Amino acid sequence: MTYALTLLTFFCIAIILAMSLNLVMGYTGRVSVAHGGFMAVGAYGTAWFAINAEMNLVWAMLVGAAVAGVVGWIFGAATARISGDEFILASFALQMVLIEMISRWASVTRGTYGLSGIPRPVLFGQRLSDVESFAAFVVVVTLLCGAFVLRLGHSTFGLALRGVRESERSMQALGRNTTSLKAVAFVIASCLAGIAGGLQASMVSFIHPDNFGVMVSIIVIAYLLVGGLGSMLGAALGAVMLLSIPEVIAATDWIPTNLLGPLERVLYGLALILFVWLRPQGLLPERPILNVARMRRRGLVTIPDPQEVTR
Amino acid sequence: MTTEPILSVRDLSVRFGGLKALDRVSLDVPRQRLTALIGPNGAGKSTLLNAVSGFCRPAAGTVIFRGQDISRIPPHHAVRVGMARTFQDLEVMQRLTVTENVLLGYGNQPAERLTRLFFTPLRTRRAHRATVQKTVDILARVGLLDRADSLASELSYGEQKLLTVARLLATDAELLMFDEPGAGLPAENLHQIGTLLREMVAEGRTVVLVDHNMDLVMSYADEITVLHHGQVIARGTPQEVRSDPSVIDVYFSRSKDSTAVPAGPEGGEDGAA
Repeated sequence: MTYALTLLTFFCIAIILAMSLNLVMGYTGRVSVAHGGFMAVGAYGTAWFAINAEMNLVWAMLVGAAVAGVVGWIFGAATARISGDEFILASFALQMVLIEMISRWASVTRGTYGLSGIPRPVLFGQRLSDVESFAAFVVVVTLLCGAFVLRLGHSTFGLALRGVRESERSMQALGRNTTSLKAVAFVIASCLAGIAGGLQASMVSFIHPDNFGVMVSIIVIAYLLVGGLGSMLGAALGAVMLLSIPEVIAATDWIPTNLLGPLERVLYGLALILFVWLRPQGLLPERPILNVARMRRRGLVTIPDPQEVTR
Repeated sequence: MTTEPILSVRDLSVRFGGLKALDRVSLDVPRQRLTALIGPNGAGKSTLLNAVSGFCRPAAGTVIFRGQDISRIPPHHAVRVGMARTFQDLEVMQRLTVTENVLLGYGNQPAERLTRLFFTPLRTRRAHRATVQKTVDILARVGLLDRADSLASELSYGEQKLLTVARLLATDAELLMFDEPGAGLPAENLHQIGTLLREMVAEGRTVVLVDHNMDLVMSYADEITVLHHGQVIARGTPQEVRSDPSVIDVYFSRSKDSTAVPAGPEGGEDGAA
């Protein structure tokens, strides 16, 4: 039971990461490999404020998310005019810089010794020290984040982000400040990655720069490719699927447990290759945001009379 | 109707390196008229459209729109001051549906503002439904209603052209500029687009039409301006332009036998831009 709940919290953290990156990669079509870095900023921000300022972890987490958001805003503003391969490289550079900074800035982050003693949140006067209550907390946070991104993703705001992905020029011609749209999407994604980092820090109570390397960023991208780039539920499903693979294999004893660790990345790689090859749109492909036929069936729009059409 | 032109271009010059794409071009676009801009490939038609709508920066000259100097506005401000444009290479959002493409023509939607989405959800939803309804009305008007839920990429070339026209109908811009809406279209679609443009003028909008297709331009335009090598060489009614010796010299002499000067997506003009 404890193990299942621990697993559940990790699933939730992965879901938040996948959904938030989807806002950038699926919606605005910009591949970022800095998500692990933003998670790190959130984790260290949360840890620092929880330990040094003795803040309740709930608030520390929000501060950590805000710090990640500020970093995301600076980076987003600086890279607003580049896209494609250049943006991937820029985000890779950011990922490297962030992790390097955290490793070197030992007075704040304890560098490569890692930072320990990160507390659990206190809610209603109770510290959520046991796995059950903490898992419940993580699930609630994930549901809130999920509702938030679903609301964004299925609104005209999400549509505008997709519009930027499809044709930035025509979005400009239709009056959208595409630079700020891309930046806003990036800031939101960074904040959410920061929250995921905060949750992880509190969950394991010890964080190390290596927990947030570029491999983490790439695995989040793998979640999206498997689940369905551009689909929020697909992103969540992809995270659950890929995280389940090692668990399922461990449970079936196909591969000895001592080999499972090193094989994990191989399995991810295989899953990724298979998906991109056989089902490039992912498990749950991107769906249109508007469906006129459905709105018509529900009586939300009426089809005008052909005679009255030309006014 | 005021007599003052809605758009005045004064001595506008655009350079790409050593190339003078536009050389001191002056042009007045009268209100509630259909003004056409024609000229051979590389004459600077699309460049003029880009310079006016903020997509390229003029080296010199001014653009006055409704009495306001908009010479160096960023492209996304153009629709706010009241002008909207299409692109020669369509720039349709391929993986969005037809309805979604047109819906994005509406600016200032509450459903696009984060604060409105989360703090006034009910009012936002009502406004959103009204916008979708207006979008559906536009689709019915241009004849794309049965493709409402199709992805734009599933449309034929002609339907995609219609979609770019429909998208501008959704903006409330007073000046609509079309970059080659007729290029590569069969005759019946040309007529449909020409009729739509005339309707827009009848509704009180002003239309600028850049096209190669002489059928479309001659039958639907009120006034024609002819550009050649980045300079205005003639302007007038279709009849006047048709009989202007300098126009005949640079334009018609090369393709007397056909009514349409080579149409379709050509690289020359946009390649530089």
